[in-house]
Amino acid sequence: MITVELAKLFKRPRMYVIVALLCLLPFIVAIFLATTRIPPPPGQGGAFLSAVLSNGALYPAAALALVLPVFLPVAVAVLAGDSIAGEATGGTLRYLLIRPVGRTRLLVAKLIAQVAFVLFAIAAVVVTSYLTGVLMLGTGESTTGGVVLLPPDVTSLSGDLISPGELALRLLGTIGYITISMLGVAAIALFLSTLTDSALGAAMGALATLVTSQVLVTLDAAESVKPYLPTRYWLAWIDFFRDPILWRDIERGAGLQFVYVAVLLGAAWANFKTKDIGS
Amino acid sequence: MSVARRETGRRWFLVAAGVSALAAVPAVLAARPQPASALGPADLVERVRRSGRVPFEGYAESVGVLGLPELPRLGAVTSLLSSNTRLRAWFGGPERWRVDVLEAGTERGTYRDADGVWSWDFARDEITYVPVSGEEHVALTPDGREITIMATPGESPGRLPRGADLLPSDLGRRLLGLAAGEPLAALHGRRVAGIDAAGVRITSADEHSTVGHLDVWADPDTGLPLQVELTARNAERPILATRFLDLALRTPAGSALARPERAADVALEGAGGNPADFFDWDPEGMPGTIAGKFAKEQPTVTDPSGQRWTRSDFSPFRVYGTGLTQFVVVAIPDRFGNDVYRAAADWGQPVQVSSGRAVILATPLVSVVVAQGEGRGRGRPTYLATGMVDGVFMDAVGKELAVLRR
Repeated sequence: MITVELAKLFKRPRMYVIVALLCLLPFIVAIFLATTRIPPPPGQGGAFLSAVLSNGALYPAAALALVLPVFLPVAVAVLAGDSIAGEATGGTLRYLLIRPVGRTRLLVAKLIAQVAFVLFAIAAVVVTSYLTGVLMLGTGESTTGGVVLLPPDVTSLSGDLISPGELALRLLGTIGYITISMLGVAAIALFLSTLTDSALGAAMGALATLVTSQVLVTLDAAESVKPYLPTRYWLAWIDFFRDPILWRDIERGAGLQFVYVAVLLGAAWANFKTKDIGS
Repeated sequence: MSVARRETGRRWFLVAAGVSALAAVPAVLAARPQPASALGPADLVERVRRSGRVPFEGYAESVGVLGLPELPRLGAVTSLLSSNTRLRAWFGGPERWRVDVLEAGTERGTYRDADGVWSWDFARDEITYVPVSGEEHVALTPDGREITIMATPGESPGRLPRGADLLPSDLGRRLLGLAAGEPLAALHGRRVAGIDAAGVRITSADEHSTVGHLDVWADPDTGLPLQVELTARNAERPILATRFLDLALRTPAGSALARPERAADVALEGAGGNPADFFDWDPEGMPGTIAGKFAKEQPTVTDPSGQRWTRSDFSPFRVYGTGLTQFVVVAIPDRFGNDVYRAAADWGQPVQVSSGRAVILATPLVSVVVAQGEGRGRGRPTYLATGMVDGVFMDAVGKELAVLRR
C-alpha cells in the first residue's frame, strides 16, 4: 500500500511543479542579493539573509527560512487535503477500498507519502539553494587550497565557525526537524480530508488552522496556549545554527508535532474507519 | 443503535479519552503541591545577596510590557523593557560567564572572561570588546581603612543596560540590593525550572514609588534568584517578569564559555558599549540634591600613588534617592540633545518650567524626563532622568533640570 502511494505521488507532474515553485523563490531572492549586494538591515528581513552575502554556503538555511512560513505549509496542506477527499472526488476511493485494503493502512500510507513529499521538497530546496548560494553569492576562500572545492567555514549565530562537515550535519538535522513540523500540517489536512469530499475545503481548513495558530503565536494575550499551538516551534530549526545547539525548543517542537499526529490520525481513523463511502 | 454506529462511538471515545489525558498532563504537573520553605524572608534576601558566585547554566525568558517609546541611541535599552527576551546563560563566576540573547534568526552574546567583555551581534556581524584591566589599586578610605579597588575602564557600573541584565539571577540580586531597607514579606513557594523556590515580596514605603511590589523567588539552598516579577502600584499583572525555564546548578563547560571564534579575526574596537562614549561624563557638574533627594554618596579613596578616586570615576551617571525610588540623571552630549528631546516630545507631555523646556514620559512603572536648559541650537544642555518614580515627582525633577547650567 505504501509503495503504491509513493509511486502515485512521484508519478504526478503536479508534485514536481510544486517542488520547482518551492525552489524558485530562494533562486529569485538570490538573484537580487547577488546583483545588488544589499543585505537586509540588521535584525530585519529573512533569517540568515544578511549572512549569506559573505558566504553563500549558508544559503540553504536562508532558503528554508524563506519557504517554511508560507510556501511549504501551503504545499503540504494542498497535497494532504487531496489525499482522501481527492480520491472521493475522483470516484476512485470506492474502488481503492474494494481491494483488500484496510482503511487504517490507507491512512498511514497517505501520511507516509506526505512525509516522502516533504523530505523530497526540502532536500530539493537545500540542494538547489546550496548550488545557488555557492555559485551566485560565492564562498570566499577555499580551505583546501583549491584541490577540492569546499566552502570555507561558515559563522554560526553564536559567532563560532562551522566546518563544512558540521554544516552538512546541521542541515540534515534541519531537514529532519522541518519534516516533523510539516507532519502536523499533513495530519490536520488528512483528518479534514476524511470529513469532506472537497480537497479544496480540506486544504483551506488546514490553512485556516495554521493562520489562526500563527496569529495567536504573536499575541501576548494568548501566552497561556502558545506552547500547544501547532506553529509555535516551527522556527526552532534555527537553533541548529547556534553554538552549542539549543535543543530545548527543537525537542518540544518535535514532541508537540507527534502529539498532533497521534491525535489527528486517531480522529481520522475514528471517522474514516466505518464511514460510508458514496463515491 | 447499529453495530457500525456503536463502533464509531467507541473509536471517538478512545480518541477523546486520549486527548483528555494529554490535555490534563500540564494541569496535573502544575497542581503538584509545593513544599513550604522554612527560610524567613530576611534570611532568603541575605542568601540571595551572597549568591553571586553560584555556578549555573540555564535558559530564561523575560516579558516586559513597559510601553516606552524608542529614544535615539537608547532603542536597545527601551526594547528590553517593552518586549519578550529569550536568554541562554552559562555562569562560571563573576569573571567567567556568557549570556546570549536569542532572537529569530539572530543572536547577541555577551562573554566575560579574564580579558574583558566581548559582545557578539550576528545580525550586524560585529564584535566589540571592552577590556577589563584588572589593575588593582590598594587604597585608603577617608576613615583610614585599607581597601583594594579594581580599575575597570570598560565595564563601568554606570554602563547601559543589556540583555544579560534581565537574567533572573542578576536582576533579582540587583533589585534586592536597591530595595535594602524596604518592608519584606514571605511569599508562597513555587516550582521554577524544576526547583522548589522560596519567595519574598518587597513593597516600597515611599509615596512617589511606582513599584507596587517586587516579588523574587530563589533557590533556598543556594540563594540563586529564579524568578523576578516587578508589579506597578495599582496594577494586577507584572510589568516586568523574568524566570528561568531550564536550570542546572553546575559549573559550565569551558567550551561554552569560550569567547566567539570570530573574535580572533575581528579588529578590536576599544571600549565599545561604554556609555562614556556617548554621554557627557560630568557627574561633578550635577547638583547634590534634586527634588529633595540627595545624590548617592560618592565614596572617595586614595591609592598608594596619591591619586584620589571616587565611584564617579567609573560611572558617567549620578544616582539620587534611596531604596526603590532611586533615579538616575544623565547629561546628554550637546550633539545628541536635540534628537533625544524631539523623540521624547513626540510621545511625552510638556512640563511647565520657568526657563528652558522639559518633557515627561510616564509609564506605570518607569518615568522619564528630558530637560533642556536655555540656549540655541546644539548648545543647549540636555539632561535625561529616569527611575521607578511617579510622574508628579519626575515633573519636579524636570523643573530643576531645565534650569541647570553646564
